[in-house]
Amino acid sequence: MQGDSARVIMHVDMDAFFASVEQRINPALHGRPVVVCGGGKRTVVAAASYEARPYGIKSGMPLFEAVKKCPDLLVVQADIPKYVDASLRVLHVLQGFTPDVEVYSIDEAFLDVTGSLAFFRGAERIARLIQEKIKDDLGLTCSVGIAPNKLLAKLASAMRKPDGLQIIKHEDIPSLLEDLPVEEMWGIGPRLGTYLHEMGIRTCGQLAKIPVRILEKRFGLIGTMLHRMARGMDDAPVVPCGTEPHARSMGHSMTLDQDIQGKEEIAWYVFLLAEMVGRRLRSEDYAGRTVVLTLRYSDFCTFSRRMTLQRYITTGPEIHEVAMRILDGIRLRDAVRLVGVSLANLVRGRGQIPLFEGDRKRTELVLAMDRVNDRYGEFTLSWGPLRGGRKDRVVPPSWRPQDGDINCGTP
Amino acid sequence: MHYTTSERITVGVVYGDQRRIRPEWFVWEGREYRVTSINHIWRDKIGREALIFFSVSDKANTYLLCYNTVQLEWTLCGVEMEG
Repeated sequence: MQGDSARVIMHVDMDAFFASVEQRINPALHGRPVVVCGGGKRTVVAAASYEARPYGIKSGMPLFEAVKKCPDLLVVQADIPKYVDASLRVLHVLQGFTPDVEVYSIDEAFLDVTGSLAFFRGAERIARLIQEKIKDDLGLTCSVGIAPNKLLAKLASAMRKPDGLQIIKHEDIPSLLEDLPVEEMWGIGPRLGTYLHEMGIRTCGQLAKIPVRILEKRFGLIGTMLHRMARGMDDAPVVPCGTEPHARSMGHSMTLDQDIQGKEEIAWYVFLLAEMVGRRLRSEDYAGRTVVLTLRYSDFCTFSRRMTLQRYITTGPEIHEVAMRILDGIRLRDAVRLVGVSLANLVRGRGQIPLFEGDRKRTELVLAMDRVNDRYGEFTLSWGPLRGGRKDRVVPPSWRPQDGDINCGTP
Repeated sequence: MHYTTSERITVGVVYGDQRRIRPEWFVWEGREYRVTSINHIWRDKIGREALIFFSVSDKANTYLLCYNTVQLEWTLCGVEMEG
């Protein structure tokens, strides 16, 4: 790995991505406050247009709250394929400048442009060309941060939004970080920020002055990372698309239309989520043996329980059965508003080979169902209890392009 | 005002260079609509059927057209009327 001094890293962040795509598709939304949200009755804002932000509307806010803040707000239900397609086209643009493009999420990417500088005559020119090409091809804007590492490149892109370009040079790092609030650093969330505040640390400059042994004593390994972050140090490489390490877990969660008390009703959602997880696992040739069930009560208290098996599993009914064993062991103290199911301890290409005829038949049945659903679409064929199951699609945070997705041009 | 539908329509298309498709006009309920701008294009799949969606506008409204590349069918999926 090269040291920071030799690297030029870029962070490309699409501006209000989902909302901007919707404004592009429907010109009537252009220049107006728009939010994109999920389909449920108690959905949250997935993206807010820049026109909606002055009202205090931001991602993650419950929709009813957003509407209260801006009664003229235009609400669009998320349509994931539009955003996936736009994201792939952005990726196609980025890969025209360097093969070292890491897809961080559906609307963010890191580029290591160190090897492309001579060819394109500098990092700033690459950034301008990227912004221009994305605007020309998709009609969307993005903000770009350029820095010696990913940590600072991400910080830089957030400094000048929308449609901005910010460069952080080596010599600027100490003065930039001196007064920077710790929460603005990528990786320091609200909870860690609160701990630091309790220690009297509010800025990266203050954090940098704390001896590393004190941070390590308080936070363990994270303390070492905090010590480096406060100095703007980060050795993490850009992991090119298609070479990412294997997934460690896969899951889905769902906020329910209304709070549910009864375990029987919760069981239906657990089955639906288990089936979605199973489909994703099998499509990427994974199997797993730790089932994690996550529940959130109506007061937003969230917890997870897990169960690890001796064998690897891949199907919805198997995941559901284990998740139900977990659920049976929980005494619910309140109504539930969110259910999540995930599978961890994953391996690739190691589905259990059934020994007994009954198991073999069940496996063959699942594979046959997969073939039908691959051909005609999700939930065309499903288990009896899931009649009328979820048809809309979701983007998990771990979304990455699949083989064959990349390099698709404009239709 | 948004109007959602799913109606088979006839579309006049130019197949250009770089395998690009450009709808020029379409007929809906016996009336011809001239496309003045293509706002956005995206792809989707239902099972193995690849679909291409076009958000297009004429002088008054915005229309969502869908081309099913397997069935070779065009569908009008929605109309966004001004006002």
